[in-house]
Amino acid sequence: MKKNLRGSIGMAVAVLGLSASAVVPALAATAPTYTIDSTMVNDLTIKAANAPTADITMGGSSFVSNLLTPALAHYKAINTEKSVAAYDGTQGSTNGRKKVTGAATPALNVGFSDFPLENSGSDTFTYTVGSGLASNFAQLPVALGGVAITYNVPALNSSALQKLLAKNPLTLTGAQVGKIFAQKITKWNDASICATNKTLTVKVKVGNKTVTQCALPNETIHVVSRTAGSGTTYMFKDYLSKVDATDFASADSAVFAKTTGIDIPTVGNSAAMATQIDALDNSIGYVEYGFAAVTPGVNVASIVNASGVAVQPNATTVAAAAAAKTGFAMDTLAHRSLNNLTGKTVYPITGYSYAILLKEQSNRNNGITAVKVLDYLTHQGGAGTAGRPFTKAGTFGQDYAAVTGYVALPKSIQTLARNILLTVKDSNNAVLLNTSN
Amino acid sequence: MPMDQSTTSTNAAGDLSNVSSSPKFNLAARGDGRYNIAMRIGQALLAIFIIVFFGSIIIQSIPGWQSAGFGFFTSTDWSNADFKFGALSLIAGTLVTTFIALLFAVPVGISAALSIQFLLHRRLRVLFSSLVEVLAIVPSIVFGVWGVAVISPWTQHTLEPFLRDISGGAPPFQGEIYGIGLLLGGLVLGVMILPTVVAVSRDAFAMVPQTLIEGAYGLGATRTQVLFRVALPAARRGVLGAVTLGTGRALGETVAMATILGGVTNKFPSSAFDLGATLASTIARDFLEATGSQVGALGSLALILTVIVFVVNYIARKIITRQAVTL
Repeated sequence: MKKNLRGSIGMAVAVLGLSASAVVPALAATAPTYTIDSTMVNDLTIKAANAPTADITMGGSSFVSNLLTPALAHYKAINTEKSVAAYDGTQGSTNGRKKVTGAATPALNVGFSDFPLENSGSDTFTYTVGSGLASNFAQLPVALGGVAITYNVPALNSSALQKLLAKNPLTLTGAQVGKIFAQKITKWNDASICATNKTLTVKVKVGNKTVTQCALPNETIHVVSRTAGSGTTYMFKDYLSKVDATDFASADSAVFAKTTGIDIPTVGNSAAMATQIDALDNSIGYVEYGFAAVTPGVNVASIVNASGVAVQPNATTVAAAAAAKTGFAMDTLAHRSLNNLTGKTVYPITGYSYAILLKEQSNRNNGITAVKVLDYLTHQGGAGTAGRPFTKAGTFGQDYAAVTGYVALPKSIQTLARNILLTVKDSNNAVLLNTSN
Repeated sequence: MPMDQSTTSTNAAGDLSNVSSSPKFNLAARGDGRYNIAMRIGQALLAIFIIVFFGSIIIQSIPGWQSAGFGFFTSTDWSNADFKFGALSLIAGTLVTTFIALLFAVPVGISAALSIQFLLHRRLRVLFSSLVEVLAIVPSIVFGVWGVAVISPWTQHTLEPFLRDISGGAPPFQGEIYGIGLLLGGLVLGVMILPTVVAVSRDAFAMVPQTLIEGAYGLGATRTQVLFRVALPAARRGVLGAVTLGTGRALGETVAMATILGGVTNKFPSSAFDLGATLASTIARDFLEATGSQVGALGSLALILTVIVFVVNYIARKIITRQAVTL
């Protein structure tokens, strides 16, 4: 079924995986042998004596779920000992934060969130575990992705217009995106949007004359929002606060509130966002670009970046954003944010998603499994190009990024993630990420 | 529970002494002692469970009442994140979607039950009734995704524009069309409660004495007359029970409504096309984000929902007892 999103994502991953493994023999001749990162201490396998008695659980952010689902399945396949049992990437970032912090015995061993725990800032909540201090948690980037501005305007579906759009995708400036989501631009044929998309025209007969006019329809824009607590919303609003500070003062994960008579539907996770945009005419929404790529009927707008160039979200432009970032550090949003960076090829709405776990793991074997899995997830096994084999033990989590709609973490971030994982210890203060484990 | 014979007989003897003083024949006391004790324990557990359940809901909801006061019932503005607790739009959303669901499920369900019971060949009867019952085991989230992905384009392009055009945009068919919303929510709810309505009312029709049906035919009644003037009135009690059960399910349905209604919690519905939210869907959506008095407010919603379900059940029972037909 066309609309079965999970099915189509699964199919896409499976097809891409199969085609990738089909090109292995061709690559094998030229590609270098696996040069596993020189600082790599993790040999992936968990030693039998250190395997947990039960599988550990992970979950949260749906932004990262298209990457983590196949990557964790691969990890399970190569590990005969107990490892990750349950991974639920449908519930959203806040669930990831809450379930790893919210009770005396956290429901998740590792939570995923697009906005890490902080003791200050706009998205704080009280938590019981780790004395309620963010500093008692190890938080590290696990995925790099871009937030696509997705739209569904049926009036643009004619083959002539699709040809025009293939050449010049629908383009929006940051200010326009802000005004649309603040419901200050309410029609698709708004003069400013038409001015940005000069090539997107149709010829219409008025009397005896043929007039060329803006192809965008005189239809109400239906903004679709994620429900409260979404990490994607947080990432997106951080961007909006940089390009439209009058409407969006700061980053938060609250829903986009309506300011006109047009209601704003809210959806529970990234997959539901893609489904809703596909179903609702003249809608606009935001979702990690891998989700947009696999949902038919969902189109992705180009966004004008800080250097004035309209760019689509894809592996090149998202990687350019990560490369343009200087002074990345986990401590504050300003240091973490990749939004609205300067550079001709930079996609402006880009960000990392993070894993969260306690620095002190009271159950040593669970802790060992958690850090080994995260070390696997945050690294590449080989030279870092797309289309590497998926069946070898040398395949690491980030090797799945290119085929699932993400970008592999830059080398410096992979090293940072390792260093953060080395701060995770057991109750006797022994480092858990270790070859002998 | 292991129990030796002597204990049982002692109990039985003790109970029998009561029987002699009672004018009625006490069947329970005469029964097996073990059975008796098990029943008592069961009753006690049930009573404790009910008390704990309602007690905890009421206690949970106290902070909500304290922070919102009477505005809880009069304000339409619900925004848990901003500590605005006005449940009126949620109550309206719950009742509207349930009403639409019944508009769909009652006629469709009862006619389906009638035709399955009286018109179909015996083999087809089994096939059709099991097909309807399959609907009952489809998970709620599947109905939600089906509603948004498959049905909402149809309501958006066909049904809702049609309703707006023939009514001239008069209430309740006015305003912006989203495809999703109260109307779609009600229709999907209707499909969801259909198996309940069909299965229970079919059982009621099966109980109608064959002699009654044959007698009606014997008096020269047509098939339509037999079905609607004889079978339906005779089974009225059971059919109303079926509708009540369906209503109960519709009022409390959560996941599908959270997906389909659009989650707009601060607008009293003025049109069937509006986005909205129900009590149950709001509890499910907001619970994740809630702390402190927000949890209390959600507890208040749970209490309101419980009360509504009870009132609906009570009214339905009254109707059933008043209109019951003695055969």
